Amino acid sequence: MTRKLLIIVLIVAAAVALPVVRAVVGGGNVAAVETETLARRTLQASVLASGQLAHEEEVKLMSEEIGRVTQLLVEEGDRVKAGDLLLQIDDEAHRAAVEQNRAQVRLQEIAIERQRVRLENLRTQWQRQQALHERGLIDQDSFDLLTNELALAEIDLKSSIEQLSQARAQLEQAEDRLRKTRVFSPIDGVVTSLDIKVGETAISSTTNLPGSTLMTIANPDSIHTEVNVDEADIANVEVGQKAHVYAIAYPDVPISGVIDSIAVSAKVPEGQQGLSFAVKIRLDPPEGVRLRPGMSCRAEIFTTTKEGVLAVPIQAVLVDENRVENRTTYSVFVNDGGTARKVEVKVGMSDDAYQEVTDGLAEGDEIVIGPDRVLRTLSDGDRIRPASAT
Amino acid sequence: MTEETNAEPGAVSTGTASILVNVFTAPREAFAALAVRPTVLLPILALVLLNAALVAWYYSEVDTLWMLQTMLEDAGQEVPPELAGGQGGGDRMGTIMTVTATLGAVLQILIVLFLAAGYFSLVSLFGNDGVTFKRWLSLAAWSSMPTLLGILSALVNVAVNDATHMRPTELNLLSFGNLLGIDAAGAGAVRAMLLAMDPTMLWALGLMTFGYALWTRRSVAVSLAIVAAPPVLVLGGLGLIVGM
Repeated sequence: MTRKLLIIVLIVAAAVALPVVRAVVGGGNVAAVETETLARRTLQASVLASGQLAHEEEVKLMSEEIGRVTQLLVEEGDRVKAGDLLLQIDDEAHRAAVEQNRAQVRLQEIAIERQRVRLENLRTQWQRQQALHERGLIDQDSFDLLTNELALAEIDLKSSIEQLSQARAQLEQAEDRLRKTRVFSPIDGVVTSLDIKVGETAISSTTNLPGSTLMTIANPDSIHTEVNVDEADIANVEVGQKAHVYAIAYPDVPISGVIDSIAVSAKVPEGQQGLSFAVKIRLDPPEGVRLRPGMSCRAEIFTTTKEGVLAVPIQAVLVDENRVENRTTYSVFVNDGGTARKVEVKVGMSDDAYQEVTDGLAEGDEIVIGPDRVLRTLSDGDRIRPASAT
Repeated sequence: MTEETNAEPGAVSTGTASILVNVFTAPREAFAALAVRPTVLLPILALVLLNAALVAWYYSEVDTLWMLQTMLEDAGQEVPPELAGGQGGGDRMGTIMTVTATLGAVLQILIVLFLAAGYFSLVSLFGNDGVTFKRWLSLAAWSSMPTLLGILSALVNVAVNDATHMRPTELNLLSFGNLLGIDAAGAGAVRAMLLAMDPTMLWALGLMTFGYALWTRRSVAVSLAIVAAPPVLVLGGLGLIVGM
């Protein structure tokens, strides 16, 4: 029996020995962790915003005269220069009006000439009659009659001169309206939208009724984006800062841009609830990227850039908030020969991925960066088995 | 047919302590004693209590959330977002898991033992060897005693090593997988089987085969085929599932 008990004791001892040996020799259960060597990096803090593309220089041409379109000299997408004829509205009636007014002017001029001749004639008669009247050869009544006629002739002439001015003014109006039947491009650009066809009637605007939009011309080189930056982030945004803009159609192509202007007052954009400021970003699209106004986009505005700073992945930084003392401390775990050492650090700025460390670590330190499930429960002095991430 | 025995009454010690010692050192005497007086309480209690203690202790130590994430990743499955972003196991989740796992372990042992006894009884009906259900139950229970070594080793492992980040497959250092130094992380049917099985299970299987052969007077080969059939089928089925 004793021998049997001894055998059992030996068997149990062998079974128990394994975990004990592991604890003593192997250091116990070793957590597998990911590490990264601390290096200097460039950090770019950024603010994210979304918006749409638009042309800075864009003109919507509307008809100033009502009439049927007889000629359309451009198509959508055509390049035009300032002064190019784009469209012709039926001008027959306007031409007739101009001719009519020109005739009216000529008639008035003829009338004035006739009246001048009559006036001259009357003056001569009056001078003759005056001489006779002074000698008493004609009576007063006759002389007064002629004097009156002379005065009336002078008034008629003045009236005719004013009527001529009126006729000339009407002629200018008719000529102006005739000119407006020809639509010219006001700027160099591209026809981005053509809203009328030959044969359709262009309607001019009135006080209460907007007229027909004929076409839209925009300068494609003036494309920009207007994004809405949340009021919480606007304090860090300044004119001149660089940005990367990603159009929905090109989600992986960053388009470089620079902030051109920032709205003075906040507004609530359509479809959103919070206040935001409109920020215009001037774009420099790369070749092969065709941007169109109206495209949705998102922008990453780089507010601060720091080069050559020591930075650790954000997930490696542990934050301990002490609400009693109103103090927040930051720490990271450093691999010290297979043991995790908790080191308190001071932090600076951060971007999406990295946090600047201003004090507590040195370049080359091996930082424990994950996995998160291990990092959460790691303690100072725990044995770790790194699988280096870098 | 009346119950038959393989030993002369009184020639073997039928005390529980003797049986316990003899199971490890002189199995023939142990099974002879059981044939005279089949007992089940001590082995079942030992198996249930030690397993329950191990499971409860392990789940109270391990980071539950870490364990769930790790098990999913080891199986090559995606970790759902509600687990991935969690902070710590949480006391409530840990308690629930401890209770359910412990109960599950207890039930599993009882079910396996009773199923084994039922299976042997069924075979007895066809074979007409006259061994009762209780005797078969005692065979299954006492034959499982060597597996207590694995449980004991796991208990010591939890006691002396930090179990916060210990996988369930790393508990039993006597498993073939751990003895061969197989990485506990990763999927695969063979890896899973090696990490789940240890030499004490083969020892238990051997004891059961020996006891079966002794009581039914069948050959070792036939006894082995009968005894090993259910676990081979179960393992084979599990292996197929894991492999899929």
